[in-house]
Amino acid sequence: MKYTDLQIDGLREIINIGGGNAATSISKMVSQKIDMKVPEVKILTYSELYQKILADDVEVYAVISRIIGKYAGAILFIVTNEAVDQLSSLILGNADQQEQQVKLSAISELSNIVSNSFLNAIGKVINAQLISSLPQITNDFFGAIISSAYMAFDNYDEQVMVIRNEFSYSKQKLDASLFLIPEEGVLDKMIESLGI
Amino acid sequence: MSISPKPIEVKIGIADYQISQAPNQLITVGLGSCIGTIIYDEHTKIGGLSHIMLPDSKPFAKRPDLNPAKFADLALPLMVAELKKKIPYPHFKAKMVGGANMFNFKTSSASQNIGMRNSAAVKAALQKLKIPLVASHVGGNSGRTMVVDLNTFQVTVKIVHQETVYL
Repeated sequence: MKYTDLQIDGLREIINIGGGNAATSISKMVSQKIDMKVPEVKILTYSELYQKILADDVEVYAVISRIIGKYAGAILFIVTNEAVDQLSSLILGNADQQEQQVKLSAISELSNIVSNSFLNAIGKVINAQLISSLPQITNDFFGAIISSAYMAFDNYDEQVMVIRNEFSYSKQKLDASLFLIPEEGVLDKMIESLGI
Repeated sequence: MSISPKPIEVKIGIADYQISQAPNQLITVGLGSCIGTIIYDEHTKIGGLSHIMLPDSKPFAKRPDLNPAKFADLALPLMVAELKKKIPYPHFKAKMVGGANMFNFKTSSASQNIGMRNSAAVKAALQKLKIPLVASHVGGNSGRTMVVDLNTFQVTVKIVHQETVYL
C-alpha cells in the first residue's frame, strides 16, 4: 500500500464529504447537532489500531453492510455499549426504560441511514452509484469484528488502511465510528476517479 | 521464605506467537476468523500460543516482508521448532480456538469462508507435525478470547453473551 500524500488528502476529502453528510443525517434523526472530527485516513497495523482507536477486547455493537458494484466492500458502523445508550436515548427518549431489542433496532436503523447518506455523498464525488445491502448487527469484541471484516473483504495484510469518521455531540464524546472497508483495488479506482 | 515467581499474563497479538512456561498464562484476544492454537508439553509445562490470520502462505510467497507467524502452514512448524529447543523430550498436545464466520454474507468469494479454511489448515499442520489435537472450539459466528493456564493446560474461552467454555 503506497499512496502519495496528495492521494491520501484526496481520499480524506471524499471521506470528509461522506462523513459530513452522515453526521447531518444523524443530527436530523436525533434532532441534535452531531459533529464530526476530521476523518482518519491512515495505514495502521492492528496493534496501532487497537492502541489508537479502540482496544481489541472492548465489546461493541457493529452494524455492517456490503457495498455492491464497481466500488465493492463494506461499511461498518461501530458503537460502544455506552454510545448505544446515548444514541438510543437521543432517538427514543429515556433509554433506561427501553428494551435492549428496541435500542438495537433503533441503532440498526440509524446505521442504515448513516451508511446510505455516506455512500450517496461519496458516490456523487466519484460519479458512481454506491449501493449497500441490508445491514447485519452483531455484538462482539472489537478485535474479532474489525480483523474479520477486513479479511472478509480481501484485506489480508497486517496493516490496514483505516478510513474512519468519528462523531460527537454537544462536546460529549460519542463512541461511534464509521469504517469504510474497500475490497482490493477499490481505493485505486477512487483515487483514479479524482484524477490524482 | 521461598520466592515463587509471580505469574505473568503473556499477550499474543494478531499474526504472532509466544512461548512461555508455568505459572504464566498465555492470552489472545479478538479471535474472529483467526485461530489461536496452544501447543503444550505437560512435563515441562512449557507451551506456545499462536494467533494465525490465514491458512496458506503460498499465494503470498513472493512477498519480501512475509511474516510466517501469520499463516497456519508456517507458524505452527516454526513455533514447534522453537519449543523443541527448550524441551529435550517433548510430548506435545494441542488445542485450538476460533475460526468463526463473523458475517454471514452470501457470496461466492472464497474469503467468506476464511474461518473454516483456517481450522482445516491448523488441523493439517498439526497432523503433519504429528501433534494430537485434544480439544477445539471452532466455527460459529462469534468472536472469542482465549486464555491458557500453563500450570494445567486448561483453556478458557470467553464469548460475548455466552457462557464461558473450558477446554
